Amino acid sequence: MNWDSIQTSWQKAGNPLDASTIGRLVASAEQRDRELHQSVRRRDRIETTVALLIAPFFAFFTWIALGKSLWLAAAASALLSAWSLFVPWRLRQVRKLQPDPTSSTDMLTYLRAEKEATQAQYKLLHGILCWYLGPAGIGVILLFFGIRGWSAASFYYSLAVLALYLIIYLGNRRAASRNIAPKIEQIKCQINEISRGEEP
Amino acid sequence: LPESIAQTEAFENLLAANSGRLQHVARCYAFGHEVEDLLQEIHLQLWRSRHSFAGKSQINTWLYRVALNTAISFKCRRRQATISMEHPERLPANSDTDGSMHLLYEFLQSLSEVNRSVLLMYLEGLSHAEIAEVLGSKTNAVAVRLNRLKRAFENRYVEDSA
Repeated sequence: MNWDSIQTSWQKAGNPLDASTIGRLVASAEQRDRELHQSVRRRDRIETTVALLIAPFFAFFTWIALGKSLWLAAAASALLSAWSLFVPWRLRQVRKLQPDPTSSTDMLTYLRAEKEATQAQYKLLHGILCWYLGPAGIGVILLFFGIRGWSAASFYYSLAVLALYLIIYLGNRRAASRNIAPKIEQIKCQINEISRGEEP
Repeated sequence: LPESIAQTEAFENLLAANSGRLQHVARCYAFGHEVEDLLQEIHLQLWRSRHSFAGKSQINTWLYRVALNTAISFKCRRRQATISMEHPERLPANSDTDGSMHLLYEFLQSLSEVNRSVLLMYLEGLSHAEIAEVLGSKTNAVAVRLNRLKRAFENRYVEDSA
């Protein structure tokens, strides 16, 4: 086959756009860029605001509980206060790893960055018990026990919290295994393919 | 602002000069109504990265790096439609090249993302060195890969080529 003529035909086949379409595309890109920027700022603002509202609330509650010698409740609310600041920080750290196509880096470097970011997401979901459910669950259960004492209500409340958290935990692990793990494998294959530089 | 107007005009010129190439990228990595979505995503990423474009000599590598990285990410996020390859149409050995365009699309879509990128950039006229630069690979590796891709296409679609 004559690949030179195929190349020429291929290049001719791309339809050039008229000026009005180009103008519309640029305006649309500008608009979407603005919206994207605004939505990222809005999301960061909401996360920070929620953390800054919850953390002082639990910190204040710790102070009150200490004043009343409710040691268990004080320890639990201190844990919840620290946790409410830690969660948005942890989410932001993982988000920062996401590679940006605008950096115009070569594909191999881009895929390696994407693999790292996807693995971080996988660890985030897979390890949700350690950084999210565990501290939050322990915190709310101990807080309830600290306030209500060792009662049947505390026991049933703890069971309800544990059941809910178990469902969330299993759901997240399932999402990590079913949605994110195959993506990591796919990226690894692409990286190997470029690195090997061999057969199609 | 004059600067932003100049930037917008420069970007419009860039899109006008490369609209065909970008459409090819979108058609090779997306299907049906998703082609338009991917094209918009590529335009957005090119717009956002316009400051990183350093000059005319690098336009090929810059454009394809942004477009292909965007396309691969886009494809990762969406479910891929599949194309039946059970009974591929075959071309006579002396076939008119225009008639082979739709088969080229079909062949491109059957390839892995990396091979698709290599063949696409070759068809768009990028040199082996430029393709290697976009991929982060070696020029020799690109040459070997391209030869194998051409042979694979001919074996699949061209009569009397095996």
